[in-house]
Amino acid sequence: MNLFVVRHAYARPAERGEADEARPLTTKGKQRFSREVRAMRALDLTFDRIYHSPWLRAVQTADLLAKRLEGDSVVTSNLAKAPSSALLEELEGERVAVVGHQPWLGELAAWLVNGDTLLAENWKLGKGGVFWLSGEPAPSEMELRALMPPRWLRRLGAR
Amino acid sequence: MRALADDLRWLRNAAQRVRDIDVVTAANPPEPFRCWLCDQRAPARSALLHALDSPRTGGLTQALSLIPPGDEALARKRTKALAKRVAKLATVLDEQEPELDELHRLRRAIRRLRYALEWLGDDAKPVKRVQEALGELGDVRATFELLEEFPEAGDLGDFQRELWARVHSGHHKARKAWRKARTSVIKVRS
Repeated sequence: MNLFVVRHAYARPAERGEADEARPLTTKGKQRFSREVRAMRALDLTFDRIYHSPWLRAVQTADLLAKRLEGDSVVTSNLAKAPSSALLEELEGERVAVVGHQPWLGELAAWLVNGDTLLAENWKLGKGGVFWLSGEPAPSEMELRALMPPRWLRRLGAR
Repeated sequence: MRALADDLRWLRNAAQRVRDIDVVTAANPPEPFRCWLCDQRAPARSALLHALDSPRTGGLTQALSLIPPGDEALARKRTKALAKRVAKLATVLDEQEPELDELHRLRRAIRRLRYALEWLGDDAKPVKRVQEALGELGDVRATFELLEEFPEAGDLGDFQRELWARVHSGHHKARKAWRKARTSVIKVRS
């Protein structure tokens, strides 16, 4: 499996009384991530499944990413918490994107590549950034193919 | 929104079989068919409960609760498009013997239009009447689909003739309801 671990795009801070889960992307966040999606098009990158967290900023990011989707989009509560076996059991497909939040995405990558979520501090991911992993979606069974920082993707998408 | 649309479709499909079995059973079909439906219900219900208990349904419920309120101007624009689609699909009602699948497509389009009109606070009654008439045909369609799986369907000739009579009567009712609703739909469209 080629697994693309995608952090949600830039969201505005929570307003008074607003739940963190309800924070939407900013207009600039949407524009910037759209450029990243254009970069994915330039790279001929498509997904046969996109899994995403139910939090609004992840839903909106997945919605923008869906332009590169050739199969189903799946929302899962397993991406709104620390990575678990239940999440790995859900993943199906050959080119799969997961859209979620830090620090859990870093923990997921550390778990899949290093076999230990405690190494997550080495897996920093900016908003809109992407880790490309490949292998079996099981602890220590994947390798890092590429780190795609958001700024690099945006530059590529702006061309 | 593309994200969540697949999840809603998945949940609808997960619920559909139990719903269809219950609707067909409630219409009191012949005994052997009813017994077969009872046997089918337990695994269908089990699959539905499994789906309802999944992280996908949990995620979908939370995601829907976080979607900000809709924009009325955008909703009106989209409702116009829905009305246009309904007007186009409704031409099937003028046919003498329309296919059940085409009527089903029309029913789904009408349902979307009705809910959009209700959300906007507009008069949805004429459209609702067409939806109800087509809903009866939808139940017949579900019966035919389940009959296709029933091994002894060939022995239920009278029942199948009765179903076709319901199709003709439902078609007549839907056409009548559409004649009354057409003007209001055209008004929404323009």
